Amino acid sequence: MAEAGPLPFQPSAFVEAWGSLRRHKGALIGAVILLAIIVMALCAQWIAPYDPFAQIPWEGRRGPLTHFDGSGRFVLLGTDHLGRDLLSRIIYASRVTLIVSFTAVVISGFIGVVLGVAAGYYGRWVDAVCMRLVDIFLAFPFELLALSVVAVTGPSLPVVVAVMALRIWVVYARVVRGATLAVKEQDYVQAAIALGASQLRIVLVHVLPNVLTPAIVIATLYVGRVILIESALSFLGIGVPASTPTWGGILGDGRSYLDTAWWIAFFPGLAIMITVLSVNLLGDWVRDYLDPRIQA
Amino acid sequence: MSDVLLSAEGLVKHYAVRRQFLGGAARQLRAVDGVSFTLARREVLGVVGESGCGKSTIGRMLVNLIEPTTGRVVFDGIDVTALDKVALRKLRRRMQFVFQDPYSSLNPRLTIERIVGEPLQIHDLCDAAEVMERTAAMLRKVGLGADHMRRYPHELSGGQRQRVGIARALISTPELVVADEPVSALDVSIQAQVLNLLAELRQEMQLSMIMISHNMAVIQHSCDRIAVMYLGQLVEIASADEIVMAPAHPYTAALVSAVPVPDPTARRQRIILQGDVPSPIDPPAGCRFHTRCPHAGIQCAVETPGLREVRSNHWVSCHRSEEIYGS
Repeated sequence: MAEAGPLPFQPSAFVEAWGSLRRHKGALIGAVILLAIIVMALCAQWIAPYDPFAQIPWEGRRGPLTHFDGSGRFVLLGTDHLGRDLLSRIIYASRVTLIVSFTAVVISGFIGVVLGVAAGYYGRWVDAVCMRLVDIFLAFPFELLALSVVAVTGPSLPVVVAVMALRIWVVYARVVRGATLAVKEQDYVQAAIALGASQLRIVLVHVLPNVLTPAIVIATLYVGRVILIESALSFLGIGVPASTPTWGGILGDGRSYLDTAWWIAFFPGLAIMITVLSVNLLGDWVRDYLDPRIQA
Repeated sequence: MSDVLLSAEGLVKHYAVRRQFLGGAARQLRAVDGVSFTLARREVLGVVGESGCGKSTIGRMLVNLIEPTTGRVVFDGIDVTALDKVALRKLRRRMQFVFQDPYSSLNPRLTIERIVGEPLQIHDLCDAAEVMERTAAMLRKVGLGADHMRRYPHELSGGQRQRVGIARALISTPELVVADEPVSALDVSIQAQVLNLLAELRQEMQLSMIMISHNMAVIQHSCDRIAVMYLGQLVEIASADEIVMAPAHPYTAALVSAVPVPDPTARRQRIILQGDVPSPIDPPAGCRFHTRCPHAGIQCAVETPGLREVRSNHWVSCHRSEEIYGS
């Protein structure tokens, strides 16, 4: 951080963020891994060694590092129960998995933060309406909600994302409302009122930045949760269409073969773990970076 | 242009409190119970009293951070309590507030520059370049350098933060500043600096001020006139000299006698009050002070005294003032 001197040099926000990121090794590793996973998802068709959909039933459930004399395939991570190359499937699956988890977390975060701040700041009927809505969503069994929505619309990617967002926004809303209630009583909000600031300004400048920390923590936690929830949906047959590979989906398939072919469940699980870990590493840093009190 | 800048007319703030779970009707906590006074232009009025006597509530009502239950605040001929939101926001440029706690009154996510410059932006007083210029100038006035501009509140000391709070209050060139315990959260060594700063700025910017404090010495040092509060009501209001030299209310006398005298040989009789302040939920009948007053008579427990002028510009709410202190 630039400090001394009458008019200190202010590097652009991006350069400053990069400088801070470089000093935080954990976050840097997280960022690099995440970037690699995203590149992998984007370039799946060039990276994947084999067709992820090609079934060779007689080559099913073979362990990692198997060389098939018949087809000449070498499967690094083994094959699933239908003989499909696990590595290729995991690479392709990253696409849907990343899209679902990130969009669901971001959309629900947006809804949850907006309603949470509104409920906490305006109180009265706004609070009552928002919080009863949250209660309803929390009380409503999620699977039932997902089932009924999918029954009406049919399974597709946007529907899965929407259903997830419906599930998660309540978590943000609850937590952010609580944080808003606390921040609202701080003298600096009172000071802003005394200065004559508009409501919008108070909310955007004084309340919102001070309640984002818990929201970021929730977001990083739920990236992982969403991947698993998605696999639960796929398991029930109401997730993304069964033909589309997802990490959760492969994991679910592999579950039945855990005793005979552990790798089918293990490797997608490993992919999920690595992704969640990198998101958490990066999320921790983002949270700290946005808080000037921790930067020093 | 009248000489009176601000007048409080019968300010009352009651809060509803529930006794217990499902416990009967809500009762009223009488935080402030009928307070009236005026503030002349360029005058500094001190409001002094024990904690819980309602002085902070008054301060916040004066700038409409708390809406009074009844009563009016008239600022420069404008009834503040009757204004609509937009007009009130505009008026706020002219009446500012300095907070007690310099740690919670500054947004931790903003730089000092943005905190101090905010009033200029809110009221659209000048363009961005000038905001920066005026912010730097204001910070210099309160004794902070340009190198503080890009810092965050947590990087400053308590005294520096309070200076930032003062700079923020004064940058929009207000006419009235209400300072709620501006130094009580600071080290004693810093208190004098900040008080002197306020006194200087008051001269320079021709401010009118209300200074709220529980510390008689602080009030005495910086105010022209002093209002003494007890349990939500004014008990005495007079010039600072009169209050200190010739208090006309037993409570004031006790407060004044508690101010330490920086002279080890001086003998001064301390008046020690018995008992605690009664609850503002259920204040005593008659004179609110009679339960602790060393001079209380029968009349005091029955009849509520009003403020009356015992000497010129010296108002007291006590039945027996003349008897006790002469006239």
